[in-house]
Amino acid sequence: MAKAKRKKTSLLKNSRYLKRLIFYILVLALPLLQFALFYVYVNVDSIILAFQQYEIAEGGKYVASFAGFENFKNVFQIFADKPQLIENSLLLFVVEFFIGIPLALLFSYYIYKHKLFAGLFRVLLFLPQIISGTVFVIIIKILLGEAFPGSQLPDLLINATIDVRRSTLLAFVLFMSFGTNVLLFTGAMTNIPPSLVEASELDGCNPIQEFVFVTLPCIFPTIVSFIIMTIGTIFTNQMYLFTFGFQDDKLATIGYFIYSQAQNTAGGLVPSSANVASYGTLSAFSLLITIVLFPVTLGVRKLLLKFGPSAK
Amino acid sequence: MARLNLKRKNKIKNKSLVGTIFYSLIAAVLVVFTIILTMIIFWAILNSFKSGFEFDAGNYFSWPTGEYDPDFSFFDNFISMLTEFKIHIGNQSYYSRLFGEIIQPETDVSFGLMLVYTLVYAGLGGFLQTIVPAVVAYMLCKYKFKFSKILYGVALIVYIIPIVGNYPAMITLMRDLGIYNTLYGSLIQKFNFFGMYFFVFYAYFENYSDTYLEAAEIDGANQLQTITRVVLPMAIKLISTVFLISFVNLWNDYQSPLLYMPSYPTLAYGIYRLSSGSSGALGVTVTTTMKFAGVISTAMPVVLLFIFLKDKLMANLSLGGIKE
Repeated sequence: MAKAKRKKTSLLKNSRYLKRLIFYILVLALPLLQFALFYVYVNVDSIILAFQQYEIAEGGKYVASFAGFENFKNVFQIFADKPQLIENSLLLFVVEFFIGIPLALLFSYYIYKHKLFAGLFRVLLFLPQIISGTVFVIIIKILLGEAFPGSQLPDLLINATIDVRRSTLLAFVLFMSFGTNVLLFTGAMTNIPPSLVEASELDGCNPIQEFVFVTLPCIFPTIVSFIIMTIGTIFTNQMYLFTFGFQDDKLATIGYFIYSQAQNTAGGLVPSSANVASYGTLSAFSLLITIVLFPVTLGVRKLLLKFGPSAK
Repeated sequence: MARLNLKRKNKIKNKSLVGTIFYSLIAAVLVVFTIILTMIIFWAILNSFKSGFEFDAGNYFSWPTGEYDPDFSFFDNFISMLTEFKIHIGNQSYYSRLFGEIIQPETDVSFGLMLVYTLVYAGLGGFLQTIVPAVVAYMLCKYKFKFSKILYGVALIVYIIPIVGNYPAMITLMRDLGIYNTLYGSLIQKFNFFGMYFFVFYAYFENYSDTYLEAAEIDGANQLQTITRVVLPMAIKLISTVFLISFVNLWNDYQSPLLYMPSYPTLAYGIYRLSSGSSGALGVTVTTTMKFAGVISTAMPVVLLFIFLKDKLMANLSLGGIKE
């Protein structure tokens, strides 16, 4: 009797396990298929594309053949011809790192301390994340660039020198960037134990000392995450160049270059092999940057966590 | 004793002075930011009610007078944008290795149709970008198979590796599958679970008590019913926030539609075309003040959404920050 009961329980258990397993497979099948195609295949194909070139055959077909390191040679040629791609990308990173992040931290501290109009500033800083960048670009382009007759505003965009235009774009990127940063930092600050803040006040810390010696160390893991995210975007940030419709090579960043080239060739019947920035070259370009960026990201994270301030 | 008190008082006075200067400096920068932001938006709204003649005649910064164009009424720019504005999409035919040549003829797309595409792209896309990571996170968290751990590790690696620009390979795949330049192709792209919100949902389900699941099972619910009637409704706050964020992001995204579905322009894409100034392809002569009306019409729905749901949107974004 007991044996039969045990057998029945075991059967029920097995049947439950089987049901759960089948359901598990059914639910995960489609997301996994999507992942296999749109992430694994695409990225493996991106690596393969980096070593391929296209030849146009009859009937609009195209035939891929092995190109060796030809695409990588093209990439180095592009870097040699357009050194500003790296310069502009790094300049953008420096501005975001040394001006954007510190300003966002100070704004967050102000909001976290519930100072005058803190709630209003929080909403207004977030507004550029809600309204499309294209909307602001159109307004700014008319306001600062179209130089309508009689306007006293200087033309800082269309006919200005490259340095002025670059500065305007950098200022615009900063202007648009505060929303999410401030939310993330404020969120992290509100998690600081109040006892720590009270203790620092009892010890006679002024607000600057509290900011430097209590707040920053306490939210350092969030700052590290944010810096890692910023590093990850060094070579994807387009500095709104595509949105502004600027095609001046001297302003281009790597992110802009890759997107605009992919966009240019997307509409054609075949990927252009005549163009140096063909799909193969673009893929080689992306592969090289990913290879450089991956260890840099991990290294910076390790260094920051090892040598950065600690909440302890 | 009195000397000690005086010293302490001075210290407190200094401390409050330093604090006042520190906070005033930050406030000053914030005030400048606020002034610039509100002036930009206000200037665009103000000019959207003027006729093109009035703007071109030099009335850039004062109230609309209407004297330059007697036939013009305040909302004409908005009406023109909604009824006349079109963008022209050229031939987008391409070669697919599976299906041969796929021909997609040229077409004109009106503002209304752009709105429909936007609602489908942002609405369904936002829904998929939310529900897929939520369900997968639940499955990996509560179904303790070995594969769950492996998949979690894969999701983590995918999140860490900064892949730059795989556009050519993505376009090639979509062309080969015959889903390039289709609305559903772009939605299939959104059917992915990896990314930041997968981890937000995973953290949520880690703290989700198994008692609810056991109770549902005792009550006779099958596994699908447990997810649809117990798990997802209980996570509705987080789900709705992630959906809102995705919706706003997709509403404003013009680069992905431009790249992967050029024949199905969303409003942001249409506004980009307006910005790039290819007026010959726009179906109507667009004046500067019509551009203002266009950008305001595009921004208005998400701004209203933001005004009504800002606490929800902003509170939970902070949560993402804490989880980091």
